[in-house]
Amino acid sequence: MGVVRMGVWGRVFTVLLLVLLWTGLVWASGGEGGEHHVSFMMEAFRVINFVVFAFLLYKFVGQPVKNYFKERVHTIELALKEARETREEAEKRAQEYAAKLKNAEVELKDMLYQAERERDEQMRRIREETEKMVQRIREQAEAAANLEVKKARLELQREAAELAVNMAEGLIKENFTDEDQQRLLSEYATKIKGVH
Amino acid sequence: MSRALARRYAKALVENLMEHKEDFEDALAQLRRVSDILRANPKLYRYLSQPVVPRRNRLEMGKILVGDLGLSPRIKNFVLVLVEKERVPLLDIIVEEFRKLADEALGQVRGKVRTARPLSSKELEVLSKSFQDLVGKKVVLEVEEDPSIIGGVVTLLGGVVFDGSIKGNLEQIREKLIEG
Repeated sequence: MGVVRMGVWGRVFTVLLLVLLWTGLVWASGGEGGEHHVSFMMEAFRVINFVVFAFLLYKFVGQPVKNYFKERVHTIELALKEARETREEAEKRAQEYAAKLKNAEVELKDMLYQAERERDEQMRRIREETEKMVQRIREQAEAAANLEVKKARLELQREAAELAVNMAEGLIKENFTDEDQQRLLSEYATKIKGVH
Repeated sequence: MSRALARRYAKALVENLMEHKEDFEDALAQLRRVSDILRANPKLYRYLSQPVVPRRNRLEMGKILVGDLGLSPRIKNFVLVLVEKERVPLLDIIVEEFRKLADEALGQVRGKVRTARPLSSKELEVLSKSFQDLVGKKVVLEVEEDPSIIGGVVTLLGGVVFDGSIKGNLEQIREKLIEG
C-alpha cells in the first residue's frame, strides 16, 4: 500500500516538475518579444499548457489516484471490519470471562458450602467416635473393676472356706471316735446299696 | 511285648491253679509276697534278673528265696521257672495280669478300699456285699489304711470312686462355700 502511494505521488510530482520547467523556459524566452503579443500568447499558452497538464495529469495520474483511493477505501473498510471483529471478539471474550467469573463465583460458593458440610460431617463423626471410645473405655474400666471386686470376693470366700474347713478338720480329728467310724461305714454301705 | 509275655505266664498259672482247684487269692498273696521281697532287696532282684549270673547260681538263690516264704509248691515252682527263664523283671506285670485273669475266671471284680482306721472282717464283708449288690458280681476288696482321709472310707471299683470319707465331705463343703 505504501509502495502504491509513493508511485502515484512520484508521477504527479514528475509531471508537475516537467510542466513548471517547461513553462519556466517559455516564460524566460518571452522577455525578448513585444509586451502585448507576448501577453496574449502567454495566456493562450498557459491555457494550452494547463489543458495539456490536466490531460497529462488525468492520463498518467488519474487512474492510479482512483486506484489509490479505492484501495485506500478498501483498506480502511478492512481495517474497520477487523477493528469491529476485534471489538466483537473482545466483547465476546469479555462476556465469556464475565460468565466464567460468575460461574467461578458460583463454584467457589459451592466449594465453600461443600467444604463446610464435609467439615461438619467430619466433626460429627469424630465426636461420635470419641463418644463411643469414651463409652468403651468406661465400660472396660467398669468391667475391670467388677472383675477385681469379683476376684477379691472369691479370694475372701476361698480364704474363709479354707479357714472354716481347716477348723472343722481339726475339730473332727480331735473328736473322731471308733463309733463315728462305724456309723460312717454303716451310712456308706446304705448309700452304696441305694445307688442305682 | 513284655505285657503280652507276662500275660502268657499269668494265664498258664491261672490254668494250672484252676486245674488243681487252688485258691487264687492265696496264690495272689504269695506272688505279692515274693514281689515285695524283691522290691525290698535290689541286690537280690539284680542277681536273679541278670543273665550274666549262671543259671545254676540263680536257681540256687531262687530256691533259698522261695524256701523261706512259706509258698505253696505250685507258686514255688512258678517263681523258679521265672528265675530259670530270666523273667523275674516281669514279675510285677505277671502279678497284675494274674489278678485280672483270676478275677475274670471267678467272675468277680476287684476294688480297693482306703480307710482311716482298720476294718474288721465283718465291716469288710458288709462293704463287699453292698458293692456286690450294686455291680451284680462278687466283689473282692483290698484294704489300704490311709489316715489322711480322717474318717470313713473311699472305694475305687471298676474305675469309679465312691467317696465316703470325712476328707471328701470337707472338700465338698469347701467347694460349696467358695462357690457361694
